[in-house]
Formats: sequence, structure tokens, C-alpha cells
Amino acid sequence: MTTLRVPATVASLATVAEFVGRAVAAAGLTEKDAYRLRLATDELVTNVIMHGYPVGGAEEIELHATVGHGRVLLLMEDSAAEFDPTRQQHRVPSVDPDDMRVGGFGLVLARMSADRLSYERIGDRNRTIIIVRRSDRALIDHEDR
Amino acid sequence: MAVAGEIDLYTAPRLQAEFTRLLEDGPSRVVIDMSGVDFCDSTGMNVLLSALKRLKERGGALEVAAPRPAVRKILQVTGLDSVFVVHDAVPEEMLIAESQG
Repeated sequence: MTTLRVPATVASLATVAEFVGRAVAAAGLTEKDAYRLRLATDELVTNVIMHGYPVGGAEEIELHATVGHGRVLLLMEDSAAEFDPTRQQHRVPSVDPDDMRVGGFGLVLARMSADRLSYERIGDRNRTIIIVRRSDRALIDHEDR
Repeated sequence: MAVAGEIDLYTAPRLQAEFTRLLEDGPSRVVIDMSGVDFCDSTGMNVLLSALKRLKERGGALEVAAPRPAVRKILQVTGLDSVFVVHDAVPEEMLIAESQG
């Protein structure tokens, strides 16, 4: 298992992407699978950065990657307020062309990208698990979950 | 307008700033060449939506051209491919317009 600990800031997103890229390479995932893992992780980390912690705090996000043959399990831990991404809106927000509401896609994309997404709250920590398996399926080709 | 690289929460403000600058010139039609974008998350989609909204307020349109398969898939699953006009390639008339400056 490899671990990355970064400040919960936008500047950390590139470091997170590199970390995910190394796990993907070690697991031998395809390009499509790699994109799904990158997108799911990016959306969940972005959500913590944007909504999880008070602005200006010195908080952190931890990522733990466990690589198996053709599979990556990524555990994201943070100390933000309790938030279960698996219990949020499941439907893709509709966009009214006359009154385009911006936002609301991130968690849906995360859920649709991961082969499995689970959550638990342990003490004061959010623990979100993303699993992506090698399948070479299109980025997101299954029903919203 | 051509966009390249990765669009996420970190880079999206630069794209937003480019749109703001571009829209100051008052174009009615903007076509974004996304062939060079190798990663785009929901933040990027929100920037595109925001720009489209501003253009529509003045009767204009924002179109997306040549997105890579992964980005096109995001447009599809979010339903944004029905909000934007999506071209498989950059429209020829735009290439001519661009070469003419």
C-alpha cells in the first residue's frame, strides 16, 4: 500500500493525479479504466476541498492506494464534517436551457466512474473507498447508481 | 478558441478568465476546440455552462468541437451534449475565420 498526504487545497490536485497515475500503472489498468479512476478521485477530492473544510484551514487529505492484479483500491480519508458521497443525489441534474443551473455533476460522475464506491465514518474521519477494476469499458457506460 | 491540457478545479479559473476576456469582444458564436483536452472534470463542464449562459443572454451560442472520447462521454452522461452543439471536428468555416485572423 502506498500513501499520499496532501493539504486540502486546489494546488494538490496535480499531486493527487500523479499518485493515481502511479497506482494505475502498477495495476496495469487500461487508458479508459485509468480515466475513470482519475475522474472519480478528482471529483471526490475536489468536493472535500470545496465543501469539506472551512476556507483557509490547514487541513489534509490522505490517499491510500492498494494495487492488486488489474484492480486499484483507493481509500480517501479526511477529517472534514461527516459526508457520505454514496447517499447524495443519484440522478444527473437536468440542465434547463432557459435557466442553466451550474453545478451538481461532480458526485454523480464519481459514482458513475467507480466500479465500487463505499463510505464509512470512523471516529472523526470520513473514509471513502473507490475501486476500479480493469475492464476497458467506456468511461461510463452503465446506469447511474 | 482552442483549449489544451487538463481542466480541473486548479486550472478552471484560467479558462474562466479566458472566456471573460473573449466575451468582452462581443462574439455571438464561440466554438471551443477541445481536441487538446486530455482530462476534464465537472469543474470544467461548469465553466463551459457558465460561458454558454452568458452567451445565450446576448443571443449567442457556444459550441464544442472535437472532444476526445472520454470528454465526449462526460458530455453524454451529463446530458450536456444536448445543451451544447457538439461537433466531431472543428467546423471548417471556423478554421478559415481563424486563419484570416
